[in-house]
Amino acid sequence: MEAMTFTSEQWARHERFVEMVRAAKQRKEAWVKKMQAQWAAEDQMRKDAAARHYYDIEEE
Amino acid sequence: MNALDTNRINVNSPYKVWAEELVLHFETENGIRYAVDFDSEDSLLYTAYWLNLTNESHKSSPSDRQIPKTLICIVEEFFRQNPDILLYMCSTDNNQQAQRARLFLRWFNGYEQQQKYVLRAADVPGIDPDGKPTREYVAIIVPRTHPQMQAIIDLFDEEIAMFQTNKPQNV
Repeated sequence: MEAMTFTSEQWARHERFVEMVRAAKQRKEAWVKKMQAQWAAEDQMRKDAAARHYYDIEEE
Repeated sequence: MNALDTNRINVNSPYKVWAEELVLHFETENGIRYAVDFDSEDSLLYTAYWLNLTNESHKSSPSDRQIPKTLICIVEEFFRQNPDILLYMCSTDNNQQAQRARLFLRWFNGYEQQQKYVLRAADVPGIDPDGKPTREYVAIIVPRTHPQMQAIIDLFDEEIAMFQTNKPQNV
């Protein structure tokens, strides 16, 4: 099979494509961490509220 | 990006979708919450967004057919409001990106979806957070009604072909 050849302009665009994928991955990882931290904080609040409710009932 | 209408999504979505600021969320019957976000990509010639999906609860999810159905409802609303391009990159968590890519392709290669969109996916070399080489699975979804659909797909195919070719020294 004949090897494909690309121009320097195509290679320059390709470098930008590679960089775009890397940058998008970093942004996605930061977003995932933020979403998971937010959920963990909300989950902790729900657990704290449930525990308070339980102790309130016990005290009654 | 034009905001998505959650009322419209919820007409067909098996799980109720709600929005908090610009992030969409839904919770499965197993109590697992997902977040969906669209991240604008400014470095392409065409208007494009990365579709981000994450399991916020970070708990393992049993197989659940309602998850892809919900995601497809969100993507359909995205294209109703934004007739642009979607890009998707699988998470490399636990090095399971190949399995995730197969799952994603199955979700979006249904008969109904094929009538509406052209989907291309490829694995490309990447670097993991530890700086080690890894494989990234990247997909592009273009509505068939996009006026430059063929040019976009040709460009994506060309980029992927270039990953298979060694760059000559003199360019």
